[in-house]
Amino acid sequence: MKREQQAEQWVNEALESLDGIGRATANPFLFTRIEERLRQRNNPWEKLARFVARPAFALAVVLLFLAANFYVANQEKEERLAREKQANEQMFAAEYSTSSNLSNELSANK
Amino acid sequence: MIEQELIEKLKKGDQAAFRFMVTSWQDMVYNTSLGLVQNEMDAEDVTQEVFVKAFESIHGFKGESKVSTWLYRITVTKSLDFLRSKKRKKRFGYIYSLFGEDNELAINPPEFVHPGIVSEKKQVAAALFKALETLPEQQRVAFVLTRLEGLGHKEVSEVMGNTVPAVESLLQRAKINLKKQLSDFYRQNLE
Repeated sequence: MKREQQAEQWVNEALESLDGIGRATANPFLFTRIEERLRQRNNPWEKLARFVARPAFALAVVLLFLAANFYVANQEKEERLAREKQANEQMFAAEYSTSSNLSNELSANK
Repeated sequence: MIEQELIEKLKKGDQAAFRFMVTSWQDMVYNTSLGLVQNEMDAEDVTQEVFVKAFESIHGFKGESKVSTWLYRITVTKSLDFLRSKKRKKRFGYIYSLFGEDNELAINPPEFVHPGIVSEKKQVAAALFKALETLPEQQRVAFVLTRLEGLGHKEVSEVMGNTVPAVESLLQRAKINLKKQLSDFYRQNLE
């Protein structure tokens, strides 16, 4: 019970510790520092660095990279399919030519 | 200089008017930020950012509220953004350390003591500021504006874009949560 009372007393003291608090004062050179910061922000290289450091820019670069990868992979697939199709056609033509020779031979035997 | 005249001059990019604005409200901005971020260097950084933002966005200021209210709003936004980014960095640092890099976790900073507190109350106030860190953002903002800046409920509601009863409710909940945090802390100390 005594402990509870002690804890409660400390809680109240802590809550009252802000009574009569003074205002913290800023650095006397604050204005000079703000001016310097503004000068830096107006520097074109700083502007570019800030633009590049934006998450939206990073996301756009990643999306562009993925799109380029997808495009290249798709192109390669299409080229491969075209090559396969051409090879199949050539093979078919070769086989057809063989089989037509065979049919000629068969008809000659008759 | 009356506020309307100051705003007109700021919109024209008048350096003297900007200097006047900084010197007039720097302590207000710094004190509010310090109450929220609880670190003097971080609070100075936030204060600089607030005035840079004010300088860059003065054209969007319609004069519907007082300059001080507008600056309070920027301060609160910038301070909360700072705290969120700090939390993200801390989390990232933790994940980074899990992957075996030779990066030690940031050691907990020393207890924050507000410079405006009288020396005999510094120790108890440190416990209060520690408990303040655990409050949800809105409650913390309402508490800091009321207790550190001495704003009335109406002014706080204008800064936070809330109604007066909403601010009163936030303060009530803040007090309950602080009491709970502090009594847990003191009970542990007594054991």
